[in-house]
Formats: sequence, structure tokens, C-alpha cells
Amino acid sequence: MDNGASSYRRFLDGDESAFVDIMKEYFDNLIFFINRYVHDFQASEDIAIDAFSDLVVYKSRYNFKVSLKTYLFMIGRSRALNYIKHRNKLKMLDISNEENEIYDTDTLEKTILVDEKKRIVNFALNQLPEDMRVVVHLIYFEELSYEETSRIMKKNKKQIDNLLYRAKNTLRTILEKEGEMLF
Amino acid sequence: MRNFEERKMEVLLRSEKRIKEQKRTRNKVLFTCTPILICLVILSVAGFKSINLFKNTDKVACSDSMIEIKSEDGTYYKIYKSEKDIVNMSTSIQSITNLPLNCNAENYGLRPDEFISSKNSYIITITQPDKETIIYHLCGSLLTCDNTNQYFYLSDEQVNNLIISLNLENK
Repeated sequence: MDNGASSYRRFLDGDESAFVDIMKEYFDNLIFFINRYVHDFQASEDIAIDAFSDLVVYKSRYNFKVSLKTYLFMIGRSRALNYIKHRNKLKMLDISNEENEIYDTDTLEKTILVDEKKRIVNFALNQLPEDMRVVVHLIYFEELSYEETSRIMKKNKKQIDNLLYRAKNTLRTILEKEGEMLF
Repeated sequence: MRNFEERKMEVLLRSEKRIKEQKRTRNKVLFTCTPILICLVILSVAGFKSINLFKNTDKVACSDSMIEIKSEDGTYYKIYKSEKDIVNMSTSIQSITNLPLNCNAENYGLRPDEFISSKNSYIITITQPDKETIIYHLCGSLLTCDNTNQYFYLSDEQVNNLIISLNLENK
């Protein structure tokens, strides 16, 4: 599996349906990943739309050296960090409906996290620092390799390994406290 | 939460909007920069032309101006092309030729031929920047100008000064 590269190639050749395939394949995962950073479902969805629109606008930027999924997640991360920076500056007024927000997030989690174990980990994951949270998300939920994760996180493999090790330890402590032993 | 169709539409709408915006920005930059670039090119070309013209006139002045001194008997020949030499030598000759004392050699009862056949006689040719030449003959104490056909009888001091300024003492 080439993680979307062939679909994108088809899209570049003029096949519009290929883009729909890419969206179906990665949109929810991208929102879920971005939400790890921004903790705001609507903003995550908005950022994901922008990331996908990048694929349409800057067609020549993707060089097929990494998988399309990795590339999309790289855009998503970069846009999420930008969003956080701007949000912190502007201290935006939150007009989102909290109930809807919880509902949306839950729906998305149910779509992506079919496995019960993953849902439990996801719950505990929110208590981790950002870097650890994202590393666990990419490796455990998105099943990306260390190399792909290091590209998205802009860290080297050793750093990813260390982050994952520390994240596992912290998660173990959290889950033990809550009576669950996962690892 | 948007459904899939809404998301797809939103992606396409935003993409279209961004592409249009890109084109607009590109055009704006093009329309702003093109006249400035054209002005710059015209100005620089004009500037270069004037600089080249200035350099060329300089070159003409340097390359064409010279002073050529040779002895009548062919034992001495020298050309001076440096601006400093040309200015010095021309000034010293002109200082003599412009004196009110200048007069015809006949006034002294001498014929110019007698001076020309003298042993220490030189032909001094001054070539000016416009390529016009002034030819002087220095024969002993007589300086003649071929162009104006004037004769100048020089005092010993004037002769010495001229010999020094024309570097003829080293002969």
C-alpha cells in the first residue's frame, strides 16, 4: 500500500474521483490528529480542510518521496501549530457549542477508534504532554513507522523512540491508577 | 460536524478561492513591478551610455594627445604621451610663444634657414586631442612655429628653461 500516493498521481492526471478517495481515506484521521494539538473539533476540521486544499492548490509541492498520508499529516501539524500561535495571540472568543463539540469528538472517536483498547488509551492520552500525545497517536493509532513519525514531528528517530518510551511509562502509571493495565 | 459532501465542497471552494487569490496577487505584483522595472532599465541604460561616452572622450584625449620631439640630425627621438608631460611641455612652449617680446627673426638680421641648419635643432610636434598638430622648430635660440609661421628669438634663460622642460639636456 502506498498510502495515497497513487491516488494523488491519478488526481494529478485529471481524475477528480481520486481526490474523493484520498479524502475518504484520510480526512477523519487528519481531523483526529489535528485535534491532538488544538483540542477544538471545529477548528481541527477547518484546518484539515485547509490541508486538503493545499493538495489542490500547490500540486507540485508533493514530491512523492514520503507517503501522501505522512505529507498530509505534516501539513496538518504545521497548520495546527500556526493556528495555536494565532489563537494564543488573539485570544479568540469561543463561540462553539460545547455540547455539539463533545458530540462531534465522540462521533469521530467512534469512527476511528473501533478497537476498545484504543479508546481507553485515547482517554488516558489526553493527560500526556503534547509531544508524547502526538507520538503515541501517530505510532499507535495511525500505525505509522518511526521514520514517518519523525518526519511529521520534525524530530530524529532516537527522539521519537525516547518520547514513546516515556509516553508508555506515563500512560502505564495513569492506567494503573484507573485500574487498567494495558502495556 | 460537516458531512462528507460538505467537506468536499468546502475543500474545492477554498482551493478555488486560494487559486484566484494567488493569480490576483501575481497580477498585482506584475502590474506594480513591470513599470518600475522598465523605468530602472531605461535609467540604467541611459546611465551606462553617459558613462561610456565620458570614458570614450577620456580615451580619445589620452590616446591622441602626444608630443613628439626629434632632432634634425636624427640622433634624438622621443614621444611623450602622459597627460602630465604633455601639459608641462605645452605650457612651457606656450609661455614663450605668448610673450609680447616675440618678433620676426629678420628683425635680428638673421634668416630662418641659418637657424634650421644649426647643429642643435629639434622638431617638436604637439598633437592635440582633436588630432590637430602644431609643429615647432627649436634651433639654438630660435623657436619657429610652422603653423603660424612665426619666429621667436629666445634669451639664454628661455632656451635653458625650454631645454629643461623638454628634457633635452639629457641628449
